[in-house]
Amino acid sequence: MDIEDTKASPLHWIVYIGVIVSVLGPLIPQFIWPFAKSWFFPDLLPSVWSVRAWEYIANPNSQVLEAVWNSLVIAVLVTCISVLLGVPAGKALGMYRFRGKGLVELFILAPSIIPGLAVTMGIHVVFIRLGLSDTLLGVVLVHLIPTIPYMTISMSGIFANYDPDFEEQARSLGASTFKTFFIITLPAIFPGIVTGAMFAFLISWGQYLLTVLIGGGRVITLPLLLFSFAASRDNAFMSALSIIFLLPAIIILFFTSKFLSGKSSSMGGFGTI
Amino acid sequence: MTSITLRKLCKTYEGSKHPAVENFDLEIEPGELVAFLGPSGCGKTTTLKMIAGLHSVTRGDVLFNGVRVNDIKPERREVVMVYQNYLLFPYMNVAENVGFGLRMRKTPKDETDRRVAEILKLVQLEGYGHRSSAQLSGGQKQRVALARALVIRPKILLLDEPLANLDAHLRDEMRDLILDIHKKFEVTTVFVTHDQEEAVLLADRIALIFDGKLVQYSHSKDFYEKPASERISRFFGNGNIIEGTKAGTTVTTGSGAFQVRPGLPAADGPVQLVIRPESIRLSREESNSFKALILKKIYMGTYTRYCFEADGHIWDTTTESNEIPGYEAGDSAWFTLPQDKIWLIER
Repeated sequence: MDIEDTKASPLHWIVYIGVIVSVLGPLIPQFIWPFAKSWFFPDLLPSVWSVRAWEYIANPNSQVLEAVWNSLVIAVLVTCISVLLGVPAGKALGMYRFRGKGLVELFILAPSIIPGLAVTMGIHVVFIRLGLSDTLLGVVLVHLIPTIPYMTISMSGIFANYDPDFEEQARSLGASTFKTFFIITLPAIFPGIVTGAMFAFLISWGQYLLTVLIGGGRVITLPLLLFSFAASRDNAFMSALSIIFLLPAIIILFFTSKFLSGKSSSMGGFGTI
Repeated sequence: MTSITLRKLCKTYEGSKHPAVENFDLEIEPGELVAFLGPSGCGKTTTLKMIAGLHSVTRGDVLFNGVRVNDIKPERREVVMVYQNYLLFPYMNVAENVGFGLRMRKTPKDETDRRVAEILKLVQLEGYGHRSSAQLSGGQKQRVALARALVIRPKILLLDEPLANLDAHLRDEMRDLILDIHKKFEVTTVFVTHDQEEAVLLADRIALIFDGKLVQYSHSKDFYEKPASERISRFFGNGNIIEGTKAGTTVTTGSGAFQVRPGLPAADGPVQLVIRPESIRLSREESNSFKALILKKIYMGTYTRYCFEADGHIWDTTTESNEIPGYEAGDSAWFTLPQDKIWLIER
């Protein structure tokens, strides 16, 4: 599909700039606050600058670095497990017909429809019994509830478009099963994996409720700190933490944006070729 | 050159009660061009994929030059399959697609480049190497797919519905190209089609497959002139099939008695008389003729088709348009069944 290249008219530019200003504009004070000691109305910039917020963050007593590390470990584990489970599940849903498929789809979708709070109470009781509550592993497991549906749905879309004949074609041209996977299968499903993994990571990274309930306040993650600082009303800390919180989303978006554009996701599964 | 032998070949898919392919016995000579012909779902593609090694064999054997290859992996068989929808790898350009098989064989780069350029020239796509597959027309994609298969000099070339996706004028071009290639590379070629015309246009011999069973394997002419059953006759576009009784060289039917040539294999007794529409002549009263009412006249350009009724049967005949004596629907006319064109199917 060709998208016609048209020159942006002045009206387009106004809209573009309007969108950029309204999205990024509110973030500007966010990036100034962490360096401010006193900043009062009607000053445009803080009257006294300071890096105390960053000093505090670097201080082990503040638990910020520990929380970042925990969040990172949990999100990476959750993403990996989601990929490992979501890819085969998505393949089954996207490519095969089997009895009870509708029911399986419903069950996989359910966690994204039913509020997490409703089921987490029950899970908590079970986890206490299994010794999983208040542990990192427990938090990882409970984060999988909302992430696996995203991963599976993302992959089932890819596999629904995927033509397994490409693999046969490669085999008959002399590619081993190993090479076929890396040269043919993986590139075809990669956009789906990236999209799904990104969602999984960000859902886990931003998860508050499930972490509090299962982690019991023992497993400290970034959203937990963010919430407690939000209550303390210290704008400098709050803003500094927010920047850290925002960072992975920006980095991920930067590296994966090409997989999210219409052009490449249509390549997913070789569907339209 | 490689011969292919299928011996009692069977395939039953997992979870299916009925075999997709049942007791195939088939011998394909080295360098032969054979069509697997049959309606969709008859098991012809399954058989092709078993030859390629892409589908496992449930029972029976596949032999190349008399050597059993059942357990040889597809990538080691030197058999290449070209799919109906071409399956060009989308993120590779034309040259990379064509060179795929050579790269898998770790051919040195300069040799790969040379052979890719050579084969692209052969399929009339010289200078297309840097195009992406999305920029090609259907016919061009087909030729890239063929080039990609041929560049590795396969022992056996398998084509899945090679002409099905092409426009009428491209079909002729592609047919000539396939015939040229087959001659030049002397590669044993098997192709699958549901279109009897396509099979006749290309193949030395046709294996006709119904419901997973091989029903007739012979030269294409035989399917027209000597069909083994009523269904085969109808599949090849011939509905002139009339019940009768054979005694010596005479067949008695509801439309009269007809003389047939001696030496037809059908035994005396109940038979079906078969005659192709183009063999029936509009004529005067003579031997082997009968009078019938013309129901329909369909002008088709070069040919004109008449449908006429005699004794409850609707007969079909096609005549060259410039030879017709000007009959219209509603007229009665004499129709002659030439003695040497009548075929009998034993019942």
